[in-house]
Order: sequence, then structure tokens, then C-alpha cells
Amino acid sequence: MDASRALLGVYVPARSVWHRLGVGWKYVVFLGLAIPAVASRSVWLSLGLLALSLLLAASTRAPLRVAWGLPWGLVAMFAAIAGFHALTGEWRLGLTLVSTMLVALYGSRLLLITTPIPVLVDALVRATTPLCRFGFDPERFALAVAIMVRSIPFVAASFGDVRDAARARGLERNPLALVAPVVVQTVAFARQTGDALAARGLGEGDR
Amino acid sequence: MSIVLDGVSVVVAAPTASDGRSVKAILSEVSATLDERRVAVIGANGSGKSTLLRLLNGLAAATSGRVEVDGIDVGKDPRAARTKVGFVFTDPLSQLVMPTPAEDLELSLRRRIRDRGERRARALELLAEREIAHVADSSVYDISGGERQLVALASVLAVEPAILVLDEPTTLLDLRHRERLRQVLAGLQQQVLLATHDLDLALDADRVLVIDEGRIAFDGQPAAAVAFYRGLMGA
Repeated sequence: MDASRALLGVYVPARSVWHRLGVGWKYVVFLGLAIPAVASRSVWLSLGLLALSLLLAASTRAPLRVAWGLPWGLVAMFAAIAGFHALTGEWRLGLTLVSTMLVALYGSRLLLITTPIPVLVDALVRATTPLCRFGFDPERFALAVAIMVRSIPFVAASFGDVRDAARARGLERNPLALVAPVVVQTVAFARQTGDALAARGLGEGDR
Repeated sequence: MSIVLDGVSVVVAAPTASDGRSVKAILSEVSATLDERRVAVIGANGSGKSTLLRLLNGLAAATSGRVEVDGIDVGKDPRAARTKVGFVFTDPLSQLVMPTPAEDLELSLRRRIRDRGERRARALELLAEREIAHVADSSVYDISGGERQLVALASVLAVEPAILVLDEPTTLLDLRHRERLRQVLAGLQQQVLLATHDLDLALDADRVLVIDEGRIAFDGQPAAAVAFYRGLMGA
């Protein structure tokens, strides 16, 4: 299940400047990387931001395989996107798309590698508490975000497990054999997570 | 603490059943009042043990009959029941929703302790009580199955339930961790209700229910219940 940790990254205890920085500032840095990358059509700006985000991810003092490593499925997807655009004569667009997605990914790692989930949850609760007057439940919202952060890598890892199972039966080229089990596993995971929270009386709001 | 099951039946749709029926009774007219501190439920696979346990905190709903936990009608107020009943699953990985044991315990403690520093300290304290403080910041994927089960148990106990329900808690454990879990369960203050295939664990209980095809086939002292179950299974 290593892939479960390979996509967004997990918290790595260390003494970097990022670990001392408040969550709000890390969000600002993330947005400072992601917004120009998304808004710009310049391949050079996207590549420059990608280089910067790689450097910043490395400065978290997490091992480089954690800070920079990518699951094979994602590499294959990026290669397919870049390859398709190169074949259609739009290599710049392909490169811009891939580098923009990587900027967002490494930017999010900057946050997740240097922030324990409980700190992230506390920050989200604080940030959304003013919305209570509109009936918003900050605790549930923050819990949902924390679970989403955990769930995305699970789904990514499921693809890896299902691919291996399909390959063992010679079905690696059958899209249904690859997608259907992932959908089933994802639904089962969602139910399990709901049950796990209910088993501790969590996620149902304060009484 | 008292658990009351009054004529409880659980019927589910079974569109692919081999006998051609469109519904299947998982539990049929189960009645019992459980006041003992340690109650074990044993029975064959598919006999209805897990469903019986899941009724107690509303993870499953009765089709008919009444389930009451400490005076709370679970069917009418499952949320209130969940504050009383903690549930430990067979596979602890299904139970742990945060990346590390310490963070998972902190999640359980959120409602009780608002300050993050205090919460973290309490989480570490609870892990130390179970002798698993050394895994506090490890990924839940990197620790052993036995350690995971103890973390799952600690996470559920952190919300201080009055009743602890465990669904086959020793199934995935080696002998050493199984013995450790038995010791931990023996020392708990909570009323404990567990389903198990581990007959040694069942013998530790004060009372044992044998479930067969959705009905209570035997209800009594552990030694007699285990002997009855062995006879039922032809073992």
C-alpha cells in the first residue's frame, strides 16, 4: 500500500522552516504557486514554477522520494497527456498542462508533508468558524477534508492493486476489469470510513 | 449497563439467493437481556453474529423488534446509542481513519479536548497505556496487525464508551498479540460484548450466546456453550 503515501504525501516530522510556518502562510504559498501556473499559458512560466515547487518541496527536509516521487500511474498519465499533445503538434500546451498539474501537486505536498493532519483540521475549523451563523458545521467540514485527503491516495492505490490483480489474470488491457473493481473498492471504502466514524460516534455533529 | 434485544429480526433483500427467495433472514426473533460484564457471541460464518453486534450502535437496523442500550432505543436514536457503544472491527485498517496512530487518537479526542497540545499529550498517554507509544507517529500501514488492533481499540476507548463491542477482534492476530488483547479486554471497566471464533476468548466471558442460522441456539455458561457449539459444528 506504499502508493497510498506516494501521491499527496504524508506528514514527515522535521525541523524545516516550513514545519514552523503557520498553516495559513502555507496556503498562501500554495496559492502563490498554483494560481499563476493555472492562469498562465506560458510554458516557460509553468516550467519555472515547477522548478520552484520542486525546490520548495525539497526544502521541507523530507526524503526526496517522498517530496518528489510520483506513483507510476500518474507518470503514465502525464506521459500520455504530453505525448498526445506532442503528436498533435501542440507540445507546448502538453508541457504546460503537465507542469501546471505538477505545480499543484508539489504545492499541496508542501502543505501536507509539513503539517500534521490534526493541525490542518484545527486550522480549517478556525478558518470556517465564522460561517457557523449560516448553519455551517466547521468540525464536520474539517473532518470531511481530512478524510478526503486520506481517501484520494487510497483510490490511487486501489488502481495499483487492481492493475496487479488484472495482470495476474491476463486482463490488463480490459478497461472494465480495471475500472469496475476500483469503483467497488471506493464505495466499500467510503462505507467503511462512515462505519469507522460512527463506531466512535464521530462525524455526526455535536448534540 | 444493560443491553436488551426484544424479538429482533433483520431481513435483507437477496435477489441472487440460490433458493429463489427474494429476502433472507439474517436474524429471527432474537430476544435476550445482557447485563454481564463480558458476553461472547459464537457461531458459524454467516450465522448472524456480526449483524447482531452492529445492531447495538445502529450500524445495522432491525427490521422488527427493539434494541435497547442503557435505556436508549437504538432504532429511535442511533446517535445517542453511538455515544454509549464503541465498536471495534475485525480489520483495524478499516477502523483507522488518520495516517498515524497518534493522529487517529487525536481525532477521537477532538470533542473532549479542544487544545491541540493537550490532545496530543493525552493521545500519547493512551498509546503508552496500551504499550504502543513507540508507534505513535508511524504510518498505520507500517505497524504490525497486532499493534493496529491495539491502536483501533485505544481509538475507540478514547471516546469513553460505556459498552465496547468487538467483532472477531483476534481473527487477524498472531498468538502473542491475541494473548495481549485478551489481557487488555480482561482489564477493561466497560461492559464488553464480542463475537469470535476464538473459543479460548469465548471461555473468558461470563456468558456466551451461540447463534445458529439467525437464532439463539444456546445461551449460558461459557464451558457449556462452547461444548454445545462444538457439537453443533460436528467438531
